[in-house]
Amino acid sequence: MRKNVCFKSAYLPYLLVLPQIVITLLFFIWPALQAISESVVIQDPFGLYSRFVWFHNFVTLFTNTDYINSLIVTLIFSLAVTILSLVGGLFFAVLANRVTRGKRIYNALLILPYAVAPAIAGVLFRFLFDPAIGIFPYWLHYFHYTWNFTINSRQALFLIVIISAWQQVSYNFLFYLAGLQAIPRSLIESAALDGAGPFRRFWSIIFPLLSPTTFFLIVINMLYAFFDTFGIIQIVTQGGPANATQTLVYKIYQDGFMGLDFGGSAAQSVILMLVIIVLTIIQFKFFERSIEY
Amino acid sequence: MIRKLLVIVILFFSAISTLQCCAKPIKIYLWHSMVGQPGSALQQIIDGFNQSQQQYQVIGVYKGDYNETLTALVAAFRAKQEPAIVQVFEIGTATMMASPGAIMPVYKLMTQYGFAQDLQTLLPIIATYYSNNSGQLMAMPFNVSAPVLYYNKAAFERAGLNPNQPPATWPELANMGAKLLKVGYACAYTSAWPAWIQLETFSAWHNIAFATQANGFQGFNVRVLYDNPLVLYHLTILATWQKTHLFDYAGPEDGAQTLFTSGHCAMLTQSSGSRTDLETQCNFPVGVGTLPYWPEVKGAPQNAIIGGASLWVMANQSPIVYQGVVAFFHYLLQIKVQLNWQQQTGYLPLTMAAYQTSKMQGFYQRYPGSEIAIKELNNKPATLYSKGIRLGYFSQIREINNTAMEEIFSGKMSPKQALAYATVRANSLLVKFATIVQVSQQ
Repeated sequence: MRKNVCFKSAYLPYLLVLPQIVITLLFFIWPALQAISESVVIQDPFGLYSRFVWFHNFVTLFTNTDYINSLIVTLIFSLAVTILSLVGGLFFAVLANRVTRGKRIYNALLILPYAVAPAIAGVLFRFLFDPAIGIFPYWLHYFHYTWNFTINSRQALFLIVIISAWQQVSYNFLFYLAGLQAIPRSLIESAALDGAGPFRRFWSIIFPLLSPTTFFLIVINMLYAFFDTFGIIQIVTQGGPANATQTLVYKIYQDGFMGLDFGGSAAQSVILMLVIIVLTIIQFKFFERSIEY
Repeated sequence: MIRKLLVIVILFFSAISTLQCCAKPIKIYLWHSMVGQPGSALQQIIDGFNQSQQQYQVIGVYKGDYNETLTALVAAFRAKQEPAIVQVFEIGTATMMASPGAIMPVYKLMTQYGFAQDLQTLLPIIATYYSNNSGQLMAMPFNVSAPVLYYNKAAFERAGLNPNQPPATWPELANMGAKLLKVGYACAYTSAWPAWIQLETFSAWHNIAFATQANGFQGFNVRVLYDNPLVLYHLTILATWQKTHLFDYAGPEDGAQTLFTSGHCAMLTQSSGSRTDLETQCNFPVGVGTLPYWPEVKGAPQNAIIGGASLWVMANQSPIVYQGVVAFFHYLLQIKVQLNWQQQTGYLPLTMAAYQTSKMQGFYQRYPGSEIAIKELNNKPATLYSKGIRLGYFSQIREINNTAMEEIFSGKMSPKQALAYATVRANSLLVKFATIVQVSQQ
């Protein structure tokens, strides 16, 4: 099945991949190596003095309750964001797929949140949910519910989950819509003729056929929750209150750039790098197997 | 022929470059974190200096808040792009001092260029804070403040209290607060920067140790000591007050200020540097009082410690730049510059002469609030525990203390648990800092 494409010049293929390799080396491999080398030393903020300490920085991390807390927060946060935004994306995709009139308008509106920069989304929601001037706390007041995410850690976590999921629903919506449109109509129609109702059709035919999309989206959403939510956290909670929204990435930023503890922060990014590598390997392995259905 | 041409070209370019050198003043970059009223006041100082002479041009660059400026400095230093002068907040002092290769001590600079006598004019309590073990000034103090108590005079009148008599002690504050609540105020008292005011200044104000090694002034191998009965007592009381809104917690930063300006809370502890901002933002008369204290503590109140920031000079600059820096510092300490700075911002005058001139001109009679902070700082001769606090990773330790406060006031931890927790975490950072200092001193 494989086609072999031959280049006339022996150098041309190398030349063609060179830009990508340079970019990878410059922006991925080099910083990664630097992180690894910084994670095994202790150094002063200005980088004038440093001392090799083996795995001291890593040991300190895992004996520190803060880091464990940050791990747990990240797990809860990314799971919640992934589940919420997947369910939301699928829900809207199924609905939009049934719409016949004004389809483009619905689609455009549902994709819109994705076009909003995370920091702007953060500011928007911050206004809406601000305990002093926000409209939501004002409404909640009628139900005798006190909303103050600057003090209440559950509310703070809930708020950044909502904002992050809101942004990501559009992305999932797009992929699910494409997935739905790729399902042959004949399958659904024959099931309908056999007497399967809409729910049965969804659970027994559509949902299993969407599973490759779902799996792909789970990985992408996890990565999103890990990395791309920094802007939202920075704008809305700054990791607080009492570290309740301090995800791994945010902690790296706080320790490294606010605290000037470069060794500890490099150790954290090495661990995060390992987590991501594992996630990606799982993704590839799983993909190879499940793509053929 | 070619050689001749080359000579002409070289001569031409060197002529241009010398022309440039003499026509344009030497640029001296100053990175700072001043916005609002202090920001424009600083710009006035810079403009004034630039107009006063032709040789140097100071360029002020706003680099974000204190933390962001320090981060930018570290990044710039590693890339060899650092400015000559940088404003670093008081809690960055130990970090800067522990990096002798990165900084040019101010005492050295001023002595070298013949302005050592300028340093003698600084108010002692301010100079001590930024001096090393041997009493040599490491950074030029700049914006100096101390926390004071602001109160809503209109609210005091409504509650039948004397609007010219703020509470002096915490029990008095509780009594007056109860009256304010009775006439319908939603909250009696709130505090900006709780870690600074309720822990750090609180400890100095009551003359108790915040950390070992004389609060970190005598060495780098330090442990914190604020898990003590008095601090515990104070925080426990604040937590009980919170239940009746006698005290409202408003976050780790200056969120409390809005609660005060909007009339929600009637009393506020906040930096003296916010005085002019508060006066313009409030539509009611604002009174200023000293920080409350616990009268049962012997010898209280001691004296407050300074907050704010200082100007650090970076190492490896050219002599001509250093000359310019010295000239700028000399200008900065002039009486009229200091008076303007104080009157526009609410920060304190740095020199004795400026303070006395201000007094003579009757400034403090017109604005009694502006003298409160100076009086707090000079209330009594500073002791080992009240001349300041100098910790490595102080910014992170303050962050830890902020977290502890949040745990207390959100009811997740008892004050006892929170203090123990903060102590363990702060000490682990201090151990790390001591290791780094050891590395840098080898």
